[in-house]
Amino acid sequence: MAYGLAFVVLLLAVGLSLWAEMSPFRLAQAACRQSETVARVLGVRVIRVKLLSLFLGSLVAGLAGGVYGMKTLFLTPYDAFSLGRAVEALVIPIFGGLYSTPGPLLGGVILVGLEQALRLWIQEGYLVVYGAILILVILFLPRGLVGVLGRHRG
Amino acid sequence: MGKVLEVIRVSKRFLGLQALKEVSLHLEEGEILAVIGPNGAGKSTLLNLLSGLLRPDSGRILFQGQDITHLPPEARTHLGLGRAFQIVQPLPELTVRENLLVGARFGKPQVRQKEAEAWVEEVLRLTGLERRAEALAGELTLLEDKRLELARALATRPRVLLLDEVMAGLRPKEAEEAVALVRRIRDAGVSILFIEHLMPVVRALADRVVVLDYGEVIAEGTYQKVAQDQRVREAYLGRGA
Repeated sequence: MAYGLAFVVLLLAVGLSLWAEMSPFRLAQAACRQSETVARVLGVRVIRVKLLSLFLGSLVAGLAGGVYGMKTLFLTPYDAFSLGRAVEALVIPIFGGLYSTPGPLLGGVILVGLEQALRLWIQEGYLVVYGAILILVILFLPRGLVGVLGRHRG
Repeated sequence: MGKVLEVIRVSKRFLGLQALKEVSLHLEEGEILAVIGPNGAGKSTLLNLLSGLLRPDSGRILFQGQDITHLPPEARTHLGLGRAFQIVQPLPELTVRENLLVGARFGKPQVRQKEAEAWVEEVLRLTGLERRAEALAGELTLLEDKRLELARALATRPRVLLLDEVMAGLRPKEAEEAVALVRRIRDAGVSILFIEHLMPVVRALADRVVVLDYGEVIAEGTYQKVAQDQRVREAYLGRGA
């Protein structure tokens, strides 16, 4: 049941992301991100764009949290609000490639898989290796995995 | 010809500095007006007040007869008051076409995507950026950057365009091209208020000149008239001149 629901949340997230990528909302977001002053002078209603972005992001995060609770049946502040989980939510899209739909998907599959595999191979201190890989990727692939793939295609 | 933009006794103070003091001026429909003055005269403050990035301490600003003194920048853009920045601020991760599309799509409320796209093509043609449409804005030359800055302001379909030293840093030949471009924009029905340091540009472009010094209007008239004005000469050359 929880897996089915998680899948629905995934579809919703991908759908929202695709909508944001194809609609003018992407341009409004890009403008606000780079310079609020310029965005406003170009007529973008910055506060609306920010509110809608926050709303969409929290919508998906909230749904994901609900499904997570259904799967574990037990929530503690240590886990739900841990620094690791907060960082993970940022690292996955950066690793995969920001501002794209495939980026965070790819990042999620690879990073979570990698974390699990390392946990099996290196029982002690697997997080050190995991952290080192993250640092290297972010240093050398600032545009994430999607950036690399895009460059080869181009 | 009517007054399309009117500044009435506007003052602005930053802590101890009186940046503008009871400044009144206006822009006629279809006119190109230059605002000049030595460094620190208050030119940029004036432009920021006009585009809504700053609010005046006192005084009023009218646009096509409507009081816009307290409107935020985006609302002024929607009414038809466009602005180009002195320090070009392209959105570097977007292409030139996408940069213009931001202005075309959001510069007026409720523009259809199709209309915005068609208008962007027109602006690209007018500003000579067609061939660079797919380039990332972060990869342009300085001249192209300046064109983009102008083009993006134009994409919002302004009735009045505020230009902040858009010729700064251009070589004379390039400045000439930019002057021709500004004329084309005016001929397309846009009234223009610009700030400029380069006197040849002011002479070539301005129908009328307003001179600011220490936050006050000290002269106003044709280029020839203000160039002869004693107070203007003093402001530029020092009191002993």
